[in-house]
Amino acid sequence: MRAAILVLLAAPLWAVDFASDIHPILAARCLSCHSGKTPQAGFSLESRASALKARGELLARVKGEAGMIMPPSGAPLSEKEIAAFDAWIKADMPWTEVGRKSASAWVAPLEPRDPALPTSREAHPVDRFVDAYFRAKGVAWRAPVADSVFARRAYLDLWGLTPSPEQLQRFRGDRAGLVNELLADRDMVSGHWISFWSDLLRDDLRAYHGGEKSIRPWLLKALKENKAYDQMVRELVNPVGADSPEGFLLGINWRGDVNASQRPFMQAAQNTAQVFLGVNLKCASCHDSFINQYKLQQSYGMAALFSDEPKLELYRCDNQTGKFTGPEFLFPAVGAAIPEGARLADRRAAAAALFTSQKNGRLARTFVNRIWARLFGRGIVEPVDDMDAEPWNADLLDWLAADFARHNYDIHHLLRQIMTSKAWQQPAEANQTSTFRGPVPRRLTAEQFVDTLSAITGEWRVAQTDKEARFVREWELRSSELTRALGRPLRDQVITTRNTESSTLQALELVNGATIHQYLRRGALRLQGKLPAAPAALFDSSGLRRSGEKMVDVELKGAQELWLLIEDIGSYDPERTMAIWADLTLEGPHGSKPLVEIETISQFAKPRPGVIHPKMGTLAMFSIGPGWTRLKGKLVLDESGKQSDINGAVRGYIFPRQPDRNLLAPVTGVAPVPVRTLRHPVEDLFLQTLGRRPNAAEKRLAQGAELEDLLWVLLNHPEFQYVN
Amino acid sequence: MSISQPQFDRRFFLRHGAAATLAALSGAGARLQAANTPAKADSMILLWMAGGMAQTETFDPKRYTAYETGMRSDRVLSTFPAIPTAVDGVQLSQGLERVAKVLDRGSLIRSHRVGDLGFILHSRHQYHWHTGYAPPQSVACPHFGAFVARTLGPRNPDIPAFLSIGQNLEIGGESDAVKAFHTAGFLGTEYGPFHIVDPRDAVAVTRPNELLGRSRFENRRTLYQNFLAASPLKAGSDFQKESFLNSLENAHRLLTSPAAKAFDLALEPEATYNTYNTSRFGLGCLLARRLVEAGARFIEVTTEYIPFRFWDTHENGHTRAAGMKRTIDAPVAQLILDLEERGLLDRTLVVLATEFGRDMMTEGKPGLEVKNQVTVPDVMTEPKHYGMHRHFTDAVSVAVFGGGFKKGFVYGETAPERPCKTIKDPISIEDLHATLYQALGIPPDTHYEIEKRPFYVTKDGKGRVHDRLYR
Repeated sequence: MRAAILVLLAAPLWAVDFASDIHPILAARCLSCHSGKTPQAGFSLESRASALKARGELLARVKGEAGMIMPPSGAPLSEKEIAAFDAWIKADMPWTEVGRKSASAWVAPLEPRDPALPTSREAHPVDRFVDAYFRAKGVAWRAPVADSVFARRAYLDLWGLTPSPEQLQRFRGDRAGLVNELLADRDMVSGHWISFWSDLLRDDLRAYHGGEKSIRPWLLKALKENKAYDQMVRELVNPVGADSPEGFLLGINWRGDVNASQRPFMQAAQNTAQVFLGVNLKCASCHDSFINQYKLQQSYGMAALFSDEPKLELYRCDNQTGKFTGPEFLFPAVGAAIPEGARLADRRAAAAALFTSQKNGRLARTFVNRIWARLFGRGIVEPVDDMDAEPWNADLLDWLAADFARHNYDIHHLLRQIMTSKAWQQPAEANQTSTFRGPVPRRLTAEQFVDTLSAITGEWRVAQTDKEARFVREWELRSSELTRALGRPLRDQVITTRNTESSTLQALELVNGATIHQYLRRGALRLQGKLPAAPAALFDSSGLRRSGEKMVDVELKGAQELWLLIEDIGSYDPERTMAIWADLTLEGPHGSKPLVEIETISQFAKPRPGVIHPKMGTLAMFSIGPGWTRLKGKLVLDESGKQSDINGAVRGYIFPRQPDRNLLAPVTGVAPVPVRTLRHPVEDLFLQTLGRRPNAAEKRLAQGAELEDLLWVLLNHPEFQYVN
Repeated sequence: MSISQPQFDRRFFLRHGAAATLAALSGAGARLQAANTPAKADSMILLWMAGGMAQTETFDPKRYTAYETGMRSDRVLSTFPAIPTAVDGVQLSQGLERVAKVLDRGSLIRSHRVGDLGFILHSRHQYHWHTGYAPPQSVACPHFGAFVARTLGPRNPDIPAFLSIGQNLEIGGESDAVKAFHTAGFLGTEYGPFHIVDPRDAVAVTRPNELLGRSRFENRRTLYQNFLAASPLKAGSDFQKESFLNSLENAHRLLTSPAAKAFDLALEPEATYNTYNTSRFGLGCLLARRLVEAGARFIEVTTEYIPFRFWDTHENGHTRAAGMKRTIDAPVAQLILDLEERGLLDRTLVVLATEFGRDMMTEGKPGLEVKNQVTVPDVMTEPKHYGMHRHFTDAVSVAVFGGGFKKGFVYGETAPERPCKTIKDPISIEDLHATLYQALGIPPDTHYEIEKRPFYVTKDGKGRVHDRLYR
């Protein structure tokens, strides 16, 4: 491995990409001679196989170090081009087909289809299809993965974190039983799957000052109920009532005017088609698509389902065309066009019926393919948003979809159906050829990474409302620099496949980021019982919004220091939010004294006599010494004199000693998973991260390492970073 | 052992599309246009005047009217007198004396017309300028710098190709909007910005975290390698995992490379440091210069966008513009002189730009006025009314130094009287970007594929190069 790292060290920071870095050079400088039936020197650069023959010589030739310099005419290749060749050859000449499209006669069916189960020794319906496929392809079944691997997969895919050592050891091989047990904990399951849904429905905590609305409460409730998928779709395309998910159709709107193709009803057309039907209407929202069969007219027909205009005028590339369309579903075979005069409510209701019509087999196919892709790392149809493409096994796809519909679109049934198959329990294999052989290794998501880290260390993120604080999983809060680097998206668009690429910036967060170091430092201390208990505040204003004040009148209980802190809790403009401590006065048996008169090295402004105005989020510390019993005064949020809407929102605290910034207010309730203590630190950490025990060499290494370093190593171990 | 070639059957993926595992190879496949454009510049520094810099108070002064209580607001075009520059017949606004002295090193564009996006929202115009696309968009748009990093790669593998200096991403109500364009979008995080909020902290973020210290950091790496070697399951020939390990090594190298001393402003002579030290922005200019010397490809230095602060002058425009000019004048001029002295200016594009200009009266463009956001009294009763408080999108000033642009050249012209429209050589965001990209050797129709469709560096690939700006 060491050798490998040394070689990797020499690789450039950027990954060489055949399509962008190499092919343009070949096309411009090489292929005019080295292609066709009789390539020059009998050597062709049209395929990887033939290019490989020149592997030893290629670089020397373009550098002019051996033989005739290539290309023989024109300027020699630039240094950058040569460097690209060099990197490409070092990377073993990866190749992608560029600019050639294979004509396919495949036409995706619309109606549901329920193929008969093939005859097979296999009992599980999925396996019967896969078995038939394997026989046709000459693939042999491999032994299913070990129990420990299965359990790790099942926990990660259903709960979004790895099993604890106890959970792992308790598992005795009843695989269907484990799946059922995990599915039964709706809080844990929804805490994992909500990220998939938020990506899909582009739901996030955001504001672009143009009107958008989170559907999060609805979504969480739906997941906890395991609401039937078709019912979810009905409510998403026809939101009725205050608790409905209308934010999905509302879309993302920035203040001001938008391009014709991004008006809310156009967004609704694009999103419903992509998410529910696996059809990309983004191109066809401006003009007839060049990449698929969909037309501008069809996009506007879909958009009219979600518009209150009697009919919509088609805009081609933002220009009016004078052509109009009324509401019409993308697949007319599912149902007739809706009258142009229909009210919006009726259009949406009609849309709900069309999307979920029994004739629309596309609804279930698209969804089961997404779930399959999630669980296997790759869909039966790829990409998952192009359901017009040919599946590698249409019978399997269609049967799964039919089975899903037959079971009332029960998402948990679908998960169970796939996860209990032998196909899903095949060993993960990265380098699969054209033939399906089982799952591919999947990178942990940002949420899986952070939640597992929290479960191991007991260090959770804290969600603070005006009154309370709770330990929460990653999904509940806005993304951090760490989770954004790990691929948690901003969700400005529908995300159906996250970018799982490794990158230098991502690695910098893992290797050197402040967030991960905080987690690990505190986590290691906590696991060793050395994390100091967070001091309780003497004063906590709870949330203070816009204008207002809170009286401070607290007993000092022998405190000899006072730590003042004002935290922003969501002001529009925190820098201009004016929150101050006014007239804080110490009282004691021998008199009183304004707090500002106590000497301090802390920096803060004193805009008026008796006023302490610390920078938002900055501590101000006063060593008051003994002899004081009470502190009186007030915390004031003052918005007078501000011409613009600052919408100040703050929370002020006074502590008797240095506060724990991660735990300002006492956390109520329990952590998302119980806090553990390590009984056998090395063994336990190996089990919870890699799902296995350490070998003798690893044990030796671990025993010489500090807990914090060991945690870091294991969390960055490729065996941890991937679901194998 | 070398990085393994993933054993995919290409025909399979042609039929079934690229799986997520192939994203690194073909997800965002690029096609550079065949026409090979020789680059005029190797790096670019974008000096971002965040919040909307008033052109009539900076690079395009008009008739000066001194403040008088009781004066009609619509009489005021500029609140500063004009000053001469190193270019005959060209004037700047008072307060930019040092920039005026180096104006003969660059081109001054006075006719930049930015988008008509309706009701003005700063972050939305900034998104538009930085990506070339007005949000919302159906795909995540890359920042200008990400396109550059993706297309040209780093100049020095130990220095990130794309750095962004000075913008705090947590600024309250517009945080999400600011984050939305500070990304590489669909190109992937490899091409995203390396963020430095405060240039004085730059050295800390490029060194092993202070919670760890260097020796523990190094020991940890050794420990990691020993664990990998001891693992019973070899990472084997899995391309993804190799690429993960490769990234860790790259991060490690960046944090320990001697090149990282470029981030250390303490290594500058005190006099130089002091010249730049007008503000965080000023030090950002100094950091940018050091990074260009060390081999960075694209650097943005911003005066920082925070609603109602810095160039976002909704009131007290005169006083605040004076303050902002004090912030930028010395460092911008010194940056040009330093690059020139080091022989780097010819191959470095330095671009000073902003999301829109400002005017006392007009919100939006003449003929395309939008809803006013600032109350401007007909008659000024106190000095805080004196200044350019409305958002003007018809004429924006942009200064471009070095990188093959003409020297001592003024491009475009605005009317001498309100509404001071662009009257000659208008240049849109698409065209300005095309002209900048082309100078970097990137044709404006360069595109990357996302969801099987081309996504161009300038909108629809139609940005037109204004080659009269080139030498």
